[in-house]
Amino acid sequence: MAFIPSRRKKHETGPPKVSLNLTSMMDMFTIILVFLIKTYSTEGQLIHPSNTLTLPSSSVENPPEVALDVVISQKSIMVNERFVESMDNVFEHEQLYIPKLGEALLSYATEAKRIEEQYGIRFSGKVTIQGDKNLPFSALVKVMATCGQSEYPNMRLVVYREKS
Amino acid sequence: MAYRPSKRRSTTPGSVEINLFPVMNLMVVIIPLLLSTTTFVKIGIIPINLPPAVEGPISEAGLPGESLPTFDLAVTVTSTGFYLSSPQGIVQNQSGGGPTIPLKEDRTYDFENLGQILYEAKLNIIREMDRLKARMNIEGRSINIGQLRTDQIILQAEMDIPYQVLVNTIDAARSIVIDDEEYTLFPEIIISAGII
Repeated sequence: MAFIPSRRKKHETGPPKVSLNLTSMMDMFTIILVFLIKTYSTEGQLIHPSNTLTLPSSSVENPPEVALDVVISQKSIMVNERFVESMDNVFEHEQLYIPKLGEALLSYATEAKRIEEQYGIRFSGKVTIQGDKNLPFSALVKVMATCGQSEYPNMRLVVYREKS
Repeated sequence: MAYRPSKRRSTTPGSVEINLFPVMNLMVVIIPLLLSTTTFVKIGIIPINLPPAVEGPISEAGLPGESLPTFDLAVTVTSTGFYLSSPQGIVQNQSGGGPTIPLKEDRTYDFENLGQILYEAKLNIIREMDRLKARMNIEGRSINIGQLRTDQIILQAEMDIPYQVLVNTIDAARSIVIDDEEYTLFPEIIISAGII
């Protein structure tokens, strides 16, 4: 005769209880959390490197500053992400001074000086130069000379920091 | 009659588990947030300050003082290596002739050697400065040390030298690490256009 379970006694009929062991997952998350907090920088990214170039790497410790942005890629020069002059013209040009870049910088300088008069924000003449790592020295010198003559004598070369 | 628990029914204490779900929820929120805001690429800057272009006559203060020795040390990067020069002349290498620090055998620049030589130059400059100060004290003259500018170095390069080499040269000229200790060499870089 087959066994008939008692109807009065309560038997567990629902799906079996499954408990997930979360301890190992917690360990993992804790490690990731500590790592992320360690690498977290509160200053954020002040300079966004352009996609069109690779910056050189250096061992400097100086933190970045916000300033007028001059980008020298392999193909063109841009000031505040606006196209100014193509590199082919720069290489053909014999003089150190690049006229179009100079004009663009001077217009930014006059604007900055107007703001200085109206709102009292000091015009520091700072400019950050993002150059491709394979850029020849002649192009760099021309851009720097133009910046110096166009009221932006304080140049900052943007580089990747190798060590933290 | 008092209640006596059954001896047959053995009660094992159930394992106590902390409820980890709230913590998990926190983690799941915090980790994507941190991941999305972390900057993995660190950016630095090399400051290069030119004197602003001044129009009109040069003022008296801008003129160099009388016969103060200036250590206008210059590094020239060429396709064959580094030339190190001062107003007195080019520093020769052991074999004489050619660049002061030639390229390494694998056609790369010898930045370690450059740093070493600049370190020796810096030591010489400091020694020279001390001697000068002692002499000035004997003669009873005061000297403005700031005019001597011992932190400056002039950097020039051939026109087709890549930017990365230039940046590495600036790194080598700025400081050197000897026995885990960092020594500042010439942090004020002056880039010279040279002759085009």
